[in-house]
Amino acid sequence: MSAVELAGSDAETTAKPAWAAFARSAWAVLAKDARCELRTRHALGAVLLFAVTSTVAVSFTLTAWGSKGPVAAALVWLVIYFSAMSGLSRVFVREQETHTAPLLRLAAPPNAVYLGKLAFNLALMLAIEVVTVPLFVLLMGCRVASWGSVICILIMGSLGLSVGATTSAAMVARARARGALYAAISFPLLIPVLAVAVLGTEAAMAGSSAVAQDLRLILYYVGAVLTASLMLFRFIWED
Amino acid sequence: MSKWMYVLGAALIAGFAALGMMEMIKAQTPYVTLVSEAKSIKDRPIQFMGSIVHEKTRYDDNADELVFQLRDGKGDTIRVRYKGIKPANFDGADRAVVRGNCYGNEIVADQVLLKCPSKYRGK
Amino acid sequence: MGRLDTSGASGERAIMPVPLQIGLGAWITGVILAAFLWVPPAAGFAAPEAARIVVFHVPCAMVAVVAYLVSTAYAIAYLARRSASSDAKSAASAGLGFLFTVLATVTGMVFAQVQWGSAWNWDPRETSILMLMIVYAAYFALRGAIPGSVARARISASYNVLACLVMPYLVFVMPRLMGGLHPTGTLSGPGALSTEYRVVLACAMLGFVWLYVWMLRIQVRLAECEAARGRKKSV
Repeated sequence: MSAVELAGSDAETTAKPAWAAFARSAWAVLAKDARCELRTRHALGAVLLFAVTSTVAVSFTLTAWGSKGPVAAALVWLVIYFSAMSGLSRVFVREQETHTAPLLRLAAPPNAVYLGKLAFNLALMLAIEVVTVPLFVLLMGCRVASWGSVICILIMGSLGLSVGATTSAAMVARARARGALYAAISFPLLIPVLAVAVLGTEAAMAGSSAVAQDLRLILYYVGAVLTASLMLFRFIWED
Repeated sequence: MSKWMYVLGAALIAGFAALGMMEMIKAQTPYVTLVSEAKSIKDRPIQFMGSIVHEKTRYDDNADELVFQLRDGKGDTIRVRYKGIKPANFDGADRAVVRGNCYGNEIVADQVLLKCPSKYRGK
Repeated sequence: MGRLDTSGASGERAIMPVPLQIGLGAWITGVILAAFLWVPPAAGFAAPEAARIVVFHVPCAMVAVVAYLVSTAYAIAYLARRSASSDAKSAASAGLGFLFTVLATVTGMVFAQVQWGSAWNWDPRETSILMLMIVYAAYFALRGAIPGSVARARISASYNVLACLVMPYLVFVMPRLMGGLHPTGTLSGPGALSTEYRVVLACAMLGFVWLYVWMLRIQVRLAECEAARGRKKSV
């Protein structure tokens, strides 16, 4: 039982504070990770470098064909996906490597940890996209009909990828050969999001209203997988 | 976590999964079986299924272009133009599904799928 | 300990009674003979004789899916009750499911090569069986990489459940979203199968499931014995 739960043992009078305490824990986890990251900028730097290099490499070789809708959408999401695979596992792996995981288990309820880490990963992905996507559009010479739709699909897609990627990160934290294993086990979980996000981005760039359907599909995926992850996380996280 | 939270979670997942399935079903490229319907959808790709009219099939070896006609349930026919190698079992197939856009009075197909009368039974 | 006694003669719980073992052998032999001697070559196929492979290909795919469902059921049971035997059964069933998935893929590729001239076409059914293989491979990679049997059991069971959630999309939805070479409607449509094919196919399915159950019980008994021996050694 976490310290927070022990402290709030009287159900009646602490019912409201219990939810607030949960939210505070999740926020604290996010804030700690953000603070650490901004201090050293290791992960952010490495992942951004990867994303930018891939974008430049891709546009260098594919300018003529890459500006076409389907190809551009697929390429931009590939770059985002591989950047995610290289950077999103850090949230849990670093806890394990620096031996701070046991303390974290005591300090916050499991789902608060999960939600805090999820929020961090989502923020990381959005930070990458803010840099990568405009660069990609510029270098490839893509025509974007509706930036609003593109932003929506990027946010939804990132949320979808983050949910699956964060749960997988927790699973590989204690495994050997983490890097390759992480990509391998995340892949089946993330294909649905990737496929729909590419289609949605293609639709958004063309200005078609079909993007609404893709947004809904990713939303349902997030609903299902997030609920499942919240139910399973305590099993993955426990000592 | 109490038992009922797991039940609630499972119900939520089932709900989202059901919603997802319904969207998926709606999302499929419209499957059209009437020529009149096919001709009316001009702005997006369609999948049209019809029986092959074998007498009217023409294949241009040099240009690699296959032009054939499909007949729908009502008896109307529509011409299909497919740029590519003639599928091996085309002559043996009785029906085909073509995917493409309808331009004017013909379908320019990017994919032709054949339904052969292959049945798992003796000749 | 001597040879593993599977017949129950020594009083230990039988994995499968001898009459049933012999019965299974005879049943499968009957199915094989029927597939080659009784079932007629299929009309309309480029290689009519090769259509017989459907009698072996479909049951393999079916058992693969059943094995996976069983594996997930035991994974949920493990998470609920934490019994090591549930984890052993989950892993054993997944292993057998992987075997049958590979068999289904290979038989499918042989048929595709003979019938359509190319072994792999990214046909939706082929793609979805490949997805199934990738999930199984990821599951075993995860199991192999986590030290400590309790952590391994917990985490792989969680992955099993999560992957099962996503599985319907990978296996059932993708085929419907695309067209394909796979003879849709030739199996499920009425009258698409002659009686001989229908009978032999049903018998083959029963035989394969029976075989799977037996193999699963052997695997589980083996895991139990190894666990017992491991415990004895550490004492």
